[in-house]
Amino acid sequence: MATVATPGLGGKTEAHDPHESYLAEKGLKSWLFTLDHKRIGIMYLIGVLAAFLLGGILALLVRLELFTAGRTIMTAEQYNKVFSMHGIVMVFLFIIPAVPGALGNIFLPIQLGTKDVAFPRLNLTSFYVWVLGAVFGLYTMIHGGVDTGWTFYTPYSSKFTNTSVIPMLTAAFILGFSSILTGVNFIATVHTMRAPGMSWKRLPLFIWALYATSIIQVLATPVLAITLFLLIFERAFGLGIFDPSMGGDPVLFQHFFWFYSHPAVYIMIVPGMGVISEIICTFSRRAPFGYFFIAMSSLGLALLGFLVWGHHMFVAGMSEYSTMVFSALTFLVGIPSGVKVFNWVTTLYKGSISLKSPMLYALGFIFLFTIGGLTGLFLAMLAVDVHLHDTYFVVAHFHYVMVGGTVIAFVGGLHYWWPKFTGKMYNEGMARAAFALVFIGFNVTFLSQFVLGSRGMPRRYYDYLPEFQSLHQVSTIGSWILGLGFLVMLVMFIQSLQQGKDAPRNPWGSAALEWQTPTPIPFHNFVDQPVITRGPYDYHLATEAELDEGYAPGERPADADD
Amino acid sequence: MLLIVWMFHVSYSAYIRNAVAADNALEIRVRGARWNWSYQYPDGTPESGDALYLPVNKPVKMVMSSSDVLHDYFVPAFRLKKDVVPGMYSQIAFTPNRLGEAQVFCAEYCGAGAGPTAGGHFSMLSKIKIVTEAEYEEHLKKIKDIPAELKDKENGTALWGEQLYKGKGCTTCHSVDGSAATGPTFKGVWGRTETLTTGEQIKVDENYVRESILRPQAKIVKTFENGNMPPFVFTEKQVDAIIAYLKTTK
Repeated sequence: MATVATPGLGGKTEAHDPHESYLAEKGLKSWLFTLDHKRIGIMYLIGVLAAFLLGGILALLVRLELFTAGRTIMTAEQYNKVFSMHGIVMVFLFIIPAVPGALGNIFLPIQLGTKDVAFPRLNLTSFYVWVLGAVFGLYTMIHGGVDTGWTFYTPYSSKFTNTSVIPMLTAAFILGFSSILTGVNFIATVHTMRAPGMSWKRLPLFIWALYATSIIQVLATPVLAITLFLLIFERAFGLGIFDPSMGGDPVLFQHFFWFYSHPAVYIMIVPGMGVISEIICTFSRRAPFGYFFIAMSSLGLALLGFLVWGHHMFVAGMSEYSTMVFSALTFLVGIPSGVKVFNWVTTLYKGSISLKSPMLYALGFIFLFTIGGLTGLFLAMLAVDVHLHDTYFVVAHFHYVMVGGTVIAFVGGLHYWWPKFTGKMYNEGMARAAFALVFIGFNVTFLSQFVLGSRGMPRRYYDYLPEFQSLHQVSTIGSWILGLGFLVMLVMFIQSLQQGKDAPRNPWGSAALEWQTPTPIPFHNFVDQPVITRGPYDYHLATEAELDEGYAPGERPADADD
Repeated sequence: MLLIVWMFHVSYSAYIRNAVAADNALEIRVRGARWNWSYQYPDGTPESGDALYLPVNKPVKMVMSSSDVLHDYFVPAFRLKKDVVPGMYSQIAFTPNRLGEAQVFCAEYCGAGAGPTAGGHFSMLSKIKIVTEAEYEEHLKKIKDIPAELKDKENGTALWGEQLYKGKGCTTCHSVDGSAATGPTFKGVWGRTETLTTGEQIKVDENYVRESILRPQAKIVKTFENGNMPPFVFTEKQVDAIIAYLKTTK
């Protein structure tokens, strides 16, 4: 038990033994007022997982209602609220902060070989701003929720709905600030806090991805803040910017909204891609094929993300020439995404692949993201989009990218780094069973929605025509399998915390920097300041001792070797 | 890369075909309001939202507007969809080439009413019935036989438009016989290409007429810089009536 030190700069005083685990200090206060990036990351993790659970329950309710046509368990009004809240919770509370806020916070400084992020107090502020936003969001839910969809399209949201739109907009407004603060912090950290020898060419791909994400967060999120602010004023005081009867333009809102929300798609997916790059290199035991191209494609996505917002509005009443330009630009997004997928696959080629659970998630990601990405090309085609827009095809497409992509990557990253930041191993058999359930459940749920959409089933419908019933039922059954998979995973992680074997320093035999520090992580991340002499994927330069899986004799868990 | 260029080309050409109407297209007015569609045939006859009748193999142009929130006219069988936006007109064009029925959905979320029997986004449905030319004429005749006093009097007809034209003082500056006045003549105005003060060319269509009534100073035709027309506060149906009337002033 350490002496309780008054948190100085970074909460770090000389009172800490350099070998002591960051988890050693106990007590609620030591968590709530911590300035340690790892603890903040864990608080984020708990927060986003709670949001994921809430959003997941709402999703199951939506699917259950759609099990039969007409009323199954709720009224149309309730249904509209439930799907809106599902979207808002998942997007703003879970998926945007998930990878950067939780995994990024814990591992960005460690991968850079430094003690903490550049601004530890700002980091804690960012977390509490997130909590404040979450409180506003929960308050709105208790107060009756909103029924506008997560997109808040005017004039429905500004004049017609009688639900609590203003508190919900305030919640999203506040959450945006949390996102900006994290982004600023990460950019400063990457620029100024790299360990000696950590050149830009040696940056782990996860850092490149977080760096690209941070740029989007800093540049795009203010636009969302302004938009939501205008909408709050429009609703509260009748400002008239988006109201046609006062000379406003409802389509303008869509432009503003998607100018943020399209880049936000890359805020969600790019860090996930970074996680996948790490996992694939570690479990293939080789350097990535085309390191530079993977790194630059993250920045490429960040740039292109700003240029394609109009593809959400092909049928919204834009001029034919604007749609032409947006369609052409949207096709370009396929290029950096394709570069990444091809490079991951070529990294696997001739690699020494070990199919542990994080790798299963990474391979699942490549499979699901490829489906999500290719269906994105269908939607970029104008004439095809006209038919598929606002149908279940779009729903399936973005769930393949967001769930099949980001959530799978987030969960994969959680499995990958879990032994490092908790210091416990988990039950590999259960982890694989959970993966199988999630993978099968996900595909059953959403493949059927591609078919539904191409047959003309529109989105956000409470009721549907009889010919759609069987596919809706398949999808609902799939959602139960998916939910069961996540439940098994939750049990597995809790079990690991309670009874898991102590994790070794480097359970996966990775050459990356974060696996060279002791497990659990020391308070200052490293016992001594590391000096970087090779890249994180230079397996040919790593010593046997560095790659050694590090179990003491007789300590090796039985299920870690399959 | 070539594949992408090809995909773009094919889809863009197909898209444009549905954005540009043939000259002789049958013009159907579509109105969306929570949670019903309603139609109006070219001669002003209103049609209930349950089903629209269209003759087979005849090009059709739909001019659509909304009186409340965003809606979207979606016909999966035609692979067609377009948002219906309050405050502007949107268009789609197509030629039905097969007899039968096509389902219409609203594809832009528009809320729901309270209570178990109330409608909502999900119930904003309609049908398009493609019939032969003869059946179409017969159907039109049948619905026109409804006594005049039962018809909606404010249904945006040219006749009403003419009354507005005379009653609102438009005659002061706009002639219908081609004679010169403070403003451009309405003789042959519909579909005419005008040159604006900015040098830009614009075709007189629904959106231009609407804008010129509600915000006359936005786009002024060259040589009429000194017109100084005041903005008029017209309802949507009044604008419709003016448009209908302008189509007759040939």
